[in-house]
Amino acid sequence: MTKEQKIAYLCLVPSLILMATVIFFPIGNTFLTAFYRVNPYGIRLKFWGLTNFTRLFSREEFWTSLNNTFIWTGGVVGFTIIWSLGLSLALNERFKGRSVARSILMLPWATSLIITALVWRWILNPEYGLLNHFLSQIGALRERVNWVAEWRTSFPMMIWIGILVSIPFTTTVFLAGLQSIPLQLYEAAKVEGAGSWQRFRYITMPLLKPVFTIAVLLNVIYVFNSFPIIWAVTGGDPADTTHIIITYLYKVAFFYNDFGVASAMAIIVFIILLSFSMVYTTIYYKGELY
Amino acid sequence: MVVLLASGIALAKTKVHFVAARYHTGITDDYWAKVASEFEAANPDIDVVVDVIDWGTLHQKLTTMIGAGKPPELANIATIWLPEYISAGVAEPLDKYMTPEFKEQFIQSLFDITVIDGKLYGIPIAVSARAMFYLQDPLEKVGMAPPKNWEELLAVAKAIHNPPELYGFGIPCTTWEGEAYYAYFLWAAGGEFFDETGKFIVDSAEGIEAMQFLVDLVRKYKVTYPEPWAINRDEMQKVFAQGKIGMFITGPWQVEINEKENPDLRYGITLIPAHRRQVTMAVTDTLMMYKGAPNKDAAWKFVEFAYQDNYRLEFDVNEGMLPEKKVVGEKIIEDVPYLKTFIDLLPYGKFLPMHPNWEEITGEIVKQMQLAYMGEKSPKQAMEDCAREVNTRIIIGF
Repeated sequence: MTKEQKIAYLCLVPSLILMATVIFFPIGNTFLTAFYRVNPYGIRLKFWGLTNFTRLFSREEFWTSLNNTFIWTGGVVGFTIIWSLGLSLALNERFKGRSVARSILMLPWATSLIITALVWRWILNPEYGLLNHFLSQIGALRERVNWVAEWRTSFPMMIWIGILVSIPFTTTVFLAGLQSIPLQLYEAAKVEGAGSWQRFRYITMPLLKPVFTIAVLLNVIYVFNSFPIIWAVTGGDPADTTHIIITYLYKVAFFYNDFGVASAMAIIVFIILLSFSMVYTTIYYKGELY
Repeated sequence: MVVLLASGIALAKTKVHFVAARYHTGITDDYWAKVASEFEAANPDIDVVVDVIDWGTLHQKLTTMIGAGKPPELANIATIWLPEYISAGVAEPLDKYMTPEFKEQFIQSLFDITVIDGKLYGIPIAVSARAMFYLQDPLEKVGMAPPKNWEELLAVAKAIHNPPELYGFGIPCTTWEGEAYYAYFLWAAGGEFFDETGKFIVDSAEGIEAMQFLVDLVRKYKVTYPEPWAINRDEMQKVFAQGKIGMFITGPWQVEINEKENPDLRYGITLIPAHRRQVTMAVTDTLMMYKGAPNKDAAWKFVEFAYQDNYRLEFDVNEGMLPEKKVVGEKIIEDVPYLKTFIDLLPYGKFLPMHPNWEEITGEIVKQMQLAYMGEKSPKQAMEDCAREVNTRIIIGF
């Protein structure tokens, strides 16, 4: 080991200690707990093999939540990416009031997620919520709709809220990516007679790819694990049909005090996200790491 | 130097950690800060640290503290959590701290549910009972008296129901306290949650009858707020205060909410509709001590101080609670006449069962109720599924 390498490792020590205490230790602890019989305070009593997993798999709510999680993540991330891409392209053009528009875009980001979610719970209220009031004013609604009463209406609504709060971050990332593309490339393409679609397809898209990859990956991880919107708007009601894994996990852990089953669920989330990240980055960066 | 001196004094003090629960009116924080500072003035060697925590996160926060081996000396808990703490061996029996003179001051029946296996584990800190609130205008308009039993409840609800301006009867049924309405009707029908052997029996004839009646109100007669599974008790309290719910069962704090949201509301308070018997749900919250905390003797000093009549009277009146001490009860009726209906109901009071898995059991009850209200299952099927799930999966463990 050279002297430089030694110094490098030495510099890594503080962050390794930090990671060990706040990341590796809890993950390891959760892994152990999942295979043990535990008391209501999470103290491990005895090795229990896969019992926590079989208990989990026998619950209908788990499969509903898992299914919902995929719909939720796909819906929120998919629409967010498309919408943010359009927004960032628009905000990258020069127009009057661009800086104001950019600041407005950042506003939802500055609000805490739980506050946004609670405000929406009130907006959706069938008795004095803003949404029903507005829709009946413009004549789009004849009957009273209770948006949070069933999956059919509440889940799309929550996906909509999820999209709204994910856009600022994603647009910012795209905007940064767009601004890093040298303008000369576009000018050169123009001189060669490339139209705007061709410039987008052959300059913007390939050069935006690394940023695009990161945006999708981070969004999938954030949204998959996003707790406040669903917890505040429906809390999984009615009859545990609108949970995603992470809200159901919370209910099992902190309402039912069943830390064994909750840990088993946490491990499944971990495995899903880890394999997604690995497969996705492998496909995307294949032969393109330079 | 001054800093050193000050920290030196702080170190010498005995620290008592008290986790208090925040009640409905939002004044709990100031109240406990005042009691703690007056106690500290009288006992300079003790430092009382009060954390006032919302009910929604209280159980989880305590679980975290206990799990980390740092339980507080004292906590204000929902009494139904006590069996869980006792079976886990973390609750401290209070018999050795409590003098007979101290104990005698309380309404003795309130100790019934905190004595387990002959040991006393808690002191009532908040007492409440439920009653039915009704709007006077719609009842007067149809010329009907407040209902006394199920038949009259249905008749009045039918007569006044006029959606979306007014819903005849309000039934909240979400994960948060949805089971309370089942208790009101199950008990009125003469049923119980558990039999003597500890078997969960909501699939009894009375258990099914109660659910059938509630579901009929929602689905057959359509005289209630239409989606019970999408509104919780707190939200319905506000809708009632807006004058949009004809009748609704809740606690004494509704009076404060009406006053704050809609001071002109004309409403009355009456007994919960009876069927085979008159009941109400009595609820107590409990002050308990944790075995693992270091300064339990100092903590008890604080308990005796905080339970002086003047403090309890202020707490009960501010929070809209019923008295736990006999003397305080007499004073309360002078100050707050409306509490009389609730105090009159206390003899009919039944407590929710004390069971270590109660939180999970209520989760199952609410889920099955919601399925029945939504018409996904018959009430009979829902209660049979509920009993089976609780007796096998929850009580046995898997």
